[in-house]
Amino acid sequence: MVVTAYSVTQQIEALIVLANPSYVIQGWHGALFTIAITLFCIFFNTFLIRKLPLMEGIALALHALGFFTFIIVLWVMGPRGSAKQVFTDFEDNNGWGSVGLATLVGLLSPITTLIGADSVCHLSEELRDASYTLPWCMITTASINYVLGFIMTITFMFTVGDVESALRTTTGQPYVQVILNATQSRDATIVLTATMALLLLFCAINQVTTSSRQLFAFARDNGLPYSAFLSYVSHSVSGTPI
Amino acid sequence: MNTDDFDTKTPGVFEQTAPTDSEKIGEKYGTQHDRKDMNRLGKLQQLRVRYVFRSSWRRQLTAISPSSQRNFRFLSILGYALILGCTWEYALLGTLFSLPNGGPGGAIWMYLIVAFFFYFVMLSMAEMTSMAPTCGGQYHWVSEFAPRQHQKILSFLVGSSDNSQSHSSQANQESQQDGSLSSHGSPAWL
Repeated sequence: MVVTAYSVTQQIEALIVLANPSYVIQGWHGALFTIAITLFCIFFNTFLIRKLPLMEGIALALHALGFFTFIIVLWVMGPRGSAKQVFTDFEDNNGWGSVGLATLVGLLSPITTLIGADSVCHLSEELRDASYTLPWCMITTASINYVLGFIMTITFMFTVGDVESALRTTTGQPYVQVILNATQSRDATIVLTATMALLLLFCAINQVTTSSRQLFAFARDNGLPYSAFLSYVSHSVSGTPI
Repeated sequence: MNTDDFDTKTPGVFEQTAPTDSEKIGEKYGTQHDRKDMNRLGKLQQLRVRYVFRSSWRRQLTAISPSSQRNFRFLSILGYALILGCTWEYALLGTLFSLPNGGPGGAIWMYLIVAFFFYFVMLSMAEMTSMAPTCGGQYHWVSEFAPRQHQKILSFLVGSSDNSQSHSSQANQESQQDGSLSSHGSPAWL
């Protein structure tokens, strides 16, 4: 969950750089931001949990609309690489010494992308008819999300332009630089990056929900120190483990 | 839909008696299948159980009528899972890592390979979920499938690594920040 909080942090830092180009990203700024966002997510899950279905609705709309916004902006305004070049361009920019090894190290990135979809199983005790609905939900989610991710990967790789300059961006995020190059508009880039930050914030909130259920279940089976304390379910505040 | 939006200002209106008949239990605690699953686990439904105040202005917890609900259905859980998955967002963020390590071609082909194999992981997870839908998830399934003599230790290992992974990856992230942004995942940084 902190990974996602850190991603939100990166987006916010990119936003600051966009709005104020003289700002230089510092490590400790990121750490403090990450802690603040994690605390916010925990607060949200403790006291505003009853608003969760509403927030899910908003976030789902953003998730779909944001996807098309990014796709359309990149398709219409971005530069277009040739298919042969994009599909066969393997690079080793970090000096691993071998392109094959570098590509395999790059495996980490799609794994981070695709790993989230199974976490939903921790909510199974709050789901109606869980043993039937949940497997369907996991498969549907996987199918939809994998396709979305693939389209986005392809789109980005075709429109990235010069890889070197995208990586050397001051915002710290290559995609922000690519969108900035494509739209040539600071304001549009700020809006799109803010959408991204908001979506990742929702993702972080959901992850806190998930991992709290997981901690609760493990404590219920006496797997942790202070299990009795951790598996206590507060009925007066939210009806959820805190 | 959301039955816990009861009005605490008008006493008695939403007061509920203890669920005695099976019909009511079915409504409050999910379907027959859900109850069977919980029985199989030997656990009580604890999440989202709320106690209704009998005399609400005194705020006394006198009533013992847990009005629990399993308040996620297919569409709401689908939305939740889609947002939790967050794939296209991470596909953009991941370029920070995959562009220097493999370039555009590497990123696309690695994505395809990972998606292909992860789909099988999802399929088997879904299968296990349909057998035992529990909050515990992975560590519970490990304990169900492991040989009897290794059951406890294996389950504990998976459970504790799961928990520590999802709760305390802070240190890892902060050490990533120390490396300069361009050196993410480079041998020099390691």
